[in-house]
Amino acid sequence: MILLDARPLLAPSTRTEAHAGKFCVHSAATTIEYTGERAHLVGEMLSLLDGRSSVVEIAAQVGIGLEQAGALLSPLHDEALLLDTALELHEGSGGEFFNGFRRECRFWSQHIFAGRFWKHLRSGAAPLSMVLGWGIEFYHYVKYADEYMAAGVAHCSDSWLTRQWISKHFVEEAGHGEIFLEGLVDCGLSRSRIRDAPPLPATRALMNTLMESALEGALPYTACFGLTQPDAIAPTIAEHEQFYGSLRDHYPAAAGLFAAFLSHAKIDAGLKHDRTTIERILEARRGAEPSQRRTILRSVRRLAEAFVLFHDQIADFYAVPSCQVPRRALRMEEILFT
Amino acid sequence: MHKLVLDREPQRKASNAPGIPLDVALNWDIRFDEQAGALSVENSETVVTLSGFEPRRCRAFLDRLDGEHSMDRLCEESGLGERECTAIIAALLDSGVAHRVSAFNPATGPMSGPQFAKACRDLVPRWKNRLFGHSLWRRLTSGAAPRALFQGWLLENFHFIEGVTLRLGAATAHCADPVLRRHFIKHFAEEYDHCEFFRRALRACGMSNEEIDAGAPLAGTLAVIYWARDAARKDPLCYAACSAFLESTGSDRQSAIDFFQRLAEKYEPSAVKHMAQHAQLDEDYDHAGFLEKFCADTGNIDRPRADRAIESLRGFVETLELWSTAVERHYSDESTLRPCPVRIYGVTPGTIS
Repeated sequence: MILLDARPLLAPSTRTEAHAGKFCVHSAATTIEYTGERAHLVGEMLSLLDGRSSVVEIAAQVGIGLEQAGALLSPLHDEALLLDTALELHEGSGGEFFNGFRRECRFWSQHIFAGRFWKHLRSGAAPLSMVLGWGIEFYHYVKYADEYMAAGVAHCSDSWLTRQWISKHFVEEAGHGEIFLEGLVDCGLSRSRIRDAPPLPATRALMNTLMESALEGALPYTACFGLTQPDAIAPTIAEHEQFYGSLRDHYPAAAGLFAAFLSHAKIDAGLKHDRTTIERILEARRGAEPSQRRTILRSVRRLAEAFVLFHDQIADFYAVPSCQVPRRALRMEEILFT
Repeated sequence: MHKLVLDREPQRKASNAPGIPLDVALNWDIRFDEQAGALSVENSETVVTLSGFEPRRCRAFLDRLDGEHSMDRLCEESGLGERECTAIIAALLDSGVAHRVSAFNPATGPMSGPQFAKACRDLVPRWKNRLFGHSLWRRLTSGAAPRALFQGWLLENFHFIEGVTLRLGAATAHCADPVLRRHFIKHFAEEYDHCEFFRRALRACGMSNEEIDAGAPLAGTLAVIYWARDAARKDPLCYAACSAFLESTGSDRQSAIDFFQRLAEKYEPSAVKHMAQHAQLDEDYDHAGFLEKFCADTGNIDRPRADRAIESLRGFVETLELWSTAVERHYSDESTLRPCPVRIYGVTPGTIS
């Protein structure tokens, strides 16, 4: 249930539609339909869902009761289509903050997946250069876990127990870049060319953002994994198979890459990553101070922007047929002798 | 722009032994274009059009021209004949869009610091031209950019310039060589508070201190700051190479003056005045000569280290292009300058279909 002092902001990627007495809010994952009086009221509330007004203020402006306002917003809240911009301010237990944090991570995850890269990829119309380019950039990102996750352990000044949790996660993820490298080699790309390819600047920015979070300490670092594992119940292997199977049908020349994605997803599913380290930390601390909440939210919002930039640049760079895949590194001999 | 059309095979025999990698690689900055049944290989200065060769085969050949494939593999995997491959390679080398992999022979010894500085210095003007050809800079110069974009660009400049504390601070802290560290300390002392020029410029545009402080840098601005911090962690030389790109030199000083003049005409003269003062102060400090002074103290630089540093510079320039795109996209919408509880970055409203 949405809190009365929450300040909801409707996901900007959603599309709203009023038709034949109904009011629909469409997201990539779902459609929420209001009918009758509820349709009329939600239509009136819409312009107030800008993150500035509390539920109490929205109810007063629309002229309805608090209970009714909460009931109208609940479906949007449950689908994580509302961002509570006052989340860090609410009094409550660590568990309540964690639930809000998890919902915010789902909000950002949906925001990222609403971007044009994903639309283009899912449409089946993306050029092979974009699909393989994505694979190469994803390889760089996964491989970099060997560095930033090690830094996350080394810069954790929390208790030894927290360091053990973070260490276990690092050990579970280390070396997974090889899975994607093999998948790309199966697509016919040169192993050494992939390894030598300089990541796109936005990929490096994503990697560096994770490194900076790791250097800042346990809370900002572990908050990042809330975004990479946003679902309380992780997707099943069957769901992964369906998703990557549909991509394989669209892009058969990249079958090796999708096999790598699926293989990696199965490993993660087996490791039960759905219980994140930050949840354990918040439990152990019995919550978080407002300044710590701000740190957690700043970290996840910064990472969400880095993911948007990452996907946008893949769409910008690799969707152009004139690009080189993999990219080539610059060597000194090229400057001195051409 | 140099143009070369290769439309027939020269009668030259390739002399590559089977299985031995060919000593030629395509340059890093090449793009391909296919028009009227011919593939072109191009960078910002040269176009080589391969007429009379099947474009798909040419592309397969060029994708594999990386110093790792032998001639027989190139022929087998592209479907081109050896004579065709030889002809194309000769044209690419002649026009400077490919290079000999073995040209820089490690056996001949490392580069000197001044040699490295000169190699960077030769590259920087070309890359500045490339960066300032970005539509953000062209629109600012012509006055076609809306005022919100000018102000957003200024705001992100403020964050970037303030970020010198994070960038140069990291370079100084991670530098293990006390002689090189002195260069960073001097540079830091001269730069750390220059964000004040940009704060004054933003105030001249009507922003309050509270509004300036409330905002966080865009992801694109953080990308530049973090790139430089990453370079600092890797090697002081990587950082110094990136730093060289940021300083004006004799050749582009006049361009900077002209740029500020155009901005003052089109936007807010009292804001631009502070930016011009900042550029003048950097000049007074002779920051343009930072890399040369730094490299005079590096000693010899072996090839892998030089490669890493030049790659760092290349990536820095690309990151500045990314920054330009990010700023242009975000601030083209005037509403993004208004204070908001949480910034929503990147997805066009109502994009779900």
